[in-house]
Amino acid sequence: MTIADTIDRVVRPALPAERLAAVRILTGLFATIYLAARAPALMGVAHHQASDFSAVGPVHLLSQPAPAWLVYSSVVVACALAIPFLIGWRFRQTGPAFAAALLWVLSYRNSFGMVFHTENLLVMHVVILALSDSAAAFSLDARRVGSTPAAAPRFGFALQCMGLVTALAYVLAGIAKLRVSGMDWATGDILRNHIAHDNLRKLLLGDSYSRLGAWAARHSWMFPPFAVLTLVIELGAPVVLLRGRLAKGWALLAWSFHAGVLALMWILFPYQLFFIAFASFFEPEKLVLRVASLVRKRRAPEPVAASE
Amino acid sequence: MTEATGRTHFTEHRTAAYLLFVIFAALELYPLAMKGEKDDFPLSPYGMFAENKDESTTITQAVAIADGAPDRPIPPRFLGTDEVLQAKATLANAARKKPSAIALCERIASRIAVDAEWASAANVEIRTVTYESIRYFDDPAAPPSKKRVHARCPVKR
Repeated sequence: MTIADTIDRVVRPALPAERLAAVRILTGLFATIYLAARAPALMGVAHHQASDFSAVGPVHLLSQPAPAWLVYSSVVVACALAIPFLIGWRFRQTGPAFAAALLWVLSYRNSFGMVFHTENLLVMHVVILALSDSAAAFSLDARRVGSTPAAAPRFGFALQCMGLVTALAYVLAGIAKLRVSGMDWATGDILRNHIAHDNLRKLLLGDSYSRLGAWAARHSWMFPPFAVLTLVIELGAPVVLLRGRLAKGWALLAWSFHAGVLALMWILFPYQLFFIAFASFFEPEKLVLRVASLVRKRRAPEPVAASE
Repeated sequence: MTEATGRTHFTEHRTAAYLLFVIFAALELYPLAMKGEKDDFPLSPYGMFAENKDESTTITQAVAIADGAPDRPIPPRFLGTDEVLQAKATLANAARKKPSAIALCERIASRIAVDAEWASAANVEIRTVTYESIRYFDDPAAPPSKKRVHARCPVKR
């Protein structure tokens, strides 16, 4: 096997259409629920002060805040487009349209003061799924055709693209720590100060905070092991591109890292903690098939008792 | 051929797939080249926990003041958001100019005036306080090392 073949097997492994489709369903379901749950907050920015406006992402197109009706209607459109994305209906049009709407409404919400890093991966994954052939199975489009294609590189490519942006997001976080603070980040009190500062800030602003984090901040010895583990997870993220057990092992470590962030800082990364962000490293089609089989069993009519 | 749609999908082509792969890698890595620039979305340098945090915490907060009770921080929902970081930004922006601080103070006071949970609040204060972060959790009753009041307004019922 040549080097080119090896690279091709990393970038475009032949994987089943059902796997990519299952990731689309899980991500689409998460995005639908997330948008519905966050709709009041997403619409609420329509009433923020113009002086708080600081555009990010595609919102740089605006020089001032959008009128309230546009904010409301873009949230409604994003919520509505989430459904065809989820069920794979006319996906070549509705997929990219949903990705653009999601990118817009989350960017707009992030354009008032602070950027929420809990949503970056969700948006990037939706963009990749929207540009890929992720509705070739488990979708209304696939049902119309009546068959599911065999495993192919184009399905594996999209899953590897999702792995790539996931890995790079964590690697960047690790690089930023080493670039700004060097190895002091792992050996010093930086993480401890962050946890104390973050919890105190929330407390002083009348918000919920982590009592565990507040307690832990008083014990300096606890933090260097956490800091080293954080850097190992972040800088080791590219192993996900090798797929298999390495990717699954890393995903479990990354999940435990986010569980630790929730426990110590009361910061919720829902996309990661519900494991949707890491679904592309596993075989989520098994879960979808099992749910579909349960639904079919429930729908099947009771067998009629034979008459005597 | 993409059987589900009867049309080919552009990611079937090796060149298109590699191009897209490189584009996503470049987009993700782009913030690395933006040294010193502000954070962005959805492409970020993820530098939020990278810097060596000062051991003290300075924050602009809104508090309710009641006779005979400790000052009580007013949660983000009374500032028109459910996000603590947006509340922080709103307070910090308001504190820059006295008229903005007074306007925000009065807006918050009018909101807590109709909330039974805040019935004992007599005044609202917008102020910037500084605490030693770790020491605070040993002795939460200790006064701040620095305090600056930007606005104080009565809760009218």
